[in-house]
Amino acid sequence: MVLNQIIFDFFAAIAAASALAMVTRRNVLHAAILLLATLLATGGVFLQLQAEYAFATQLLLCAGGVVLLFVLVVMLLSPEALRQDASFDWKFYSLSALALAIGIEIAAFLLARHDGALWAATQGLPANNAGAMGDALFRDDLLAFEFASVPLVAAIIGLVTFGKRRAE
Amino acid sequence: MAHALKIWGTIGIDFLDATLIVLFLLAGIVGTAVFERTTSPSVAREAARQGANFALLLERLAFSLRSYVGGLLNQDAGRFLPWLISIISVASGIVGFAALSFGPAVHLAPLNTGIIFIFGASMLGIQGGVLARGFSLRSTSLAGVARNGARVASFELAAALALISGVVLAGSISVDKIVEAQLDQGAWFLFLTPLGFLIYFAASIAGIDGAARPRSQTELDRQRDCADAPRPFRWPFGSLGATIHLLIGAGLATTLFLGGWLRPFASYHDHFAGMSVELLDALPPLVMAAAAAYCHRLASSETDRGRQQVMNVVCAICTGLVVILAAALFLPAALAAVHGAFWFLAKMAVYIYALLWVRARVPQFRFGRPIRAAWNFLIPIAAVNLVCVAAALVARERWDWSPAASTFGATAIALLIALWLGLHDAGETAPYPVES
Amino acid sequence: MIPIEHYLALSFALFLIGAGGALLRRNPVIILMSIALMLTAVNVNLIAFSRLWGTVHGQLFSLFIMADAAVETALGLGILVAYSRTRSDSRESAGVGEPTADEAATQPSDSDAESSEVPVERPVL
Repeated sequence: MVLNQIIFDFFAAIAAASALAMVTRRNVLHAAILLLATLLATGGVFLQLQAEYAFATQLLLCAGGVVLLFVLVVMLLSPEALRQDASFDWKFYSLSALALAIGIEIAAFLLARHDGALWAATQGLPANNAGAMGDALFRDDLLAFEFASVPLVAAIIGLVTFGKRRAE
Repeated sequence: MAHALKIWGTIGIDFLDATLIVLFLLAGIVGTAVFERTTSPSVAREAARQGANFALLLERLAFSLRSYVGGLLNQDAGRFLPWLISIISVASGIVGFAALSFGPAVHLAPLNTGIIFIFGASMLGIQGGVLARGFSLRSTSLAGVARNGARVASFELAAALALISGVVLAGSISVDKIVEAQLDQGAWFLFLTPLGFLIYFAASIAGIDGAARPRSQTELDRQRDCADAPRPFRWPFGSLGATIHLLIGAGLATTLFLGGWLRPFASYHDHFAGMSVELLDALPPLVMAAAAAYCHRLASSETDRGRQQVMNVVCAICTGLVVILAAALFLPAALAAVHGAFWFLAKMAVYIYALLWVRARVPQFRFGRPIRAAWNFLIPIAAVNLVCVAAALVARERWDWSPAASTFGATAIALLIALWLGLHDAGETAPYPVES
Repeated sequence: MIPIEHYLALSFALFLIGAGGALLRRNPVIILMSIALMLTAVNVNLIAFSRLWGTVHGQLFSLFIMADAAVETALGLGILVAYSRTRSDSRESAGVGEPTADEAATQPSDSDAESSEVPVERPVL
């Protein structure tokens, strides 16, 4: 329906534009904010697909966590580590022009197809997304869920090890 | 055609609801500022010294809000992204309110995953404050800003664990189902997990990010040059983003721990003689009538014309609310919604008042202590409380303990462990390992 | 409803932009951000297909991907901080006089006309 299309186009446009702007910034803090905008817009696409749990988790985890990490680290690092050594040279511009050309061609091909699979409004979709996700997490895929905690623990241990102070 | 009209009509109603929410937020900010004058003696002293009154408060609030929105029109370029991050933080806070339920079906966005979404929106809001401070071009120590952000994130973690204990009791993360669970279990979750509520309360207070919005140079110059330019509003918690973050925190606490839009003693259905009106339902109009009478008394004893007019307006608003609340008593369809909204906002107001009262009396933390307190004490206690609440739930359902017994047992165990943790932590241990 | 190709186009666009950023930029933080962008693009793809087939498993997998993205971002940034601290330590002990240690370094070290690098002080946690 038209409203769905408008909402999706809105979020998709914001996501793509923010992503493009993000990889072309010199100032790293600006890039972090544009990453935030991209993640929020992608979350909006999730919500439009009625994936409410993924939307909430994207907001909390990716937007609220990952971007916060980036910003804190950018604030902590000294300028030497962040110093650009001429990223924007002729190689950058020519390769990105090539990528843009290929990308536009493939995207146009994708968007021109109209015989792709469509879905009915509520084809087999469980009404309570959170409940369905809970069932999947704790009944069907419990092993995967428990294993997902292993890299998290490893990351915590690794980061604490990184943060150790030397004896001054 | 009629179908399209219905769709756009729904969207129009949603916009109206969104405007109502923004108005509620404004009223909430004003109310918080008034509460701060009442609870904190230092703020009251400074306000009295400046000759501040209610009308001046409103004027300063309007000026600050206008400068927030109009920041884009400042002359200095390169401030678009900092302004954007301020707007993102405020907007995400407001969006978080959209998922809160003010009544049985009174909400803008009935999400299945309401609690997580609201918490995420409030995290975004507070993170915007951290980001905005990093843009300041003054020689602020950015490592200090990072430490501030780390402190805020640590206390948000403790608050999240406390929230989860309430979610465990309810069995759902949908806002409506949580309030219904409190109705079914006959007790607010405050009484079923008092430690969880206390942890959330403490984490709310300690996690306040006091970062102010960095002012552009032209704004500072303009304020310095014109002597009669209105001074900026003194936000109760340091910045608009932090205030909205706390209002959302109050909304979350009300939903999870204080029964949401339920009336106190919601299952007590005694009626007035001969009428279908329940006894306790007459409380809201009576409370608003008392507020209106108080405002009228204040207005008649005011000497200044301007202040008198402002108090008269407030009195008129209160009287209008009395009429609405009393009329809703006789319209069963609107009763739950209107009175639910009243109870929700009243509980939020009480929570914020208590928060400001405690904050005014607890001394400011020293520099390194808050993060230590968070990681060595508050987060372990929140995790222990979560396990105890789950155990209490199991005891209630499997072994048929009464709610009082299971709650008492769970709280006792958690408090004992908290006591042990507090005594054990009396030595100053750092939260990170130090190579020696 | 919206044909699935639109979601695929968005996912492809985000992935391409992320890959371009990861390969063509030299700033380590921007590279990490581009990798996170690529993972988000994959999430969009997964959730779109999960909606198409009416199951919930695609969304489940996207959860794991989000957790992994957070982990890998955190670890990458941790390595970066540790590395920069090692480099600044060795540079200081080698006697190179970089004026980063004092509070007076408020003016940005090399500021071009357009980019305003925010002045940071030496990392002290």
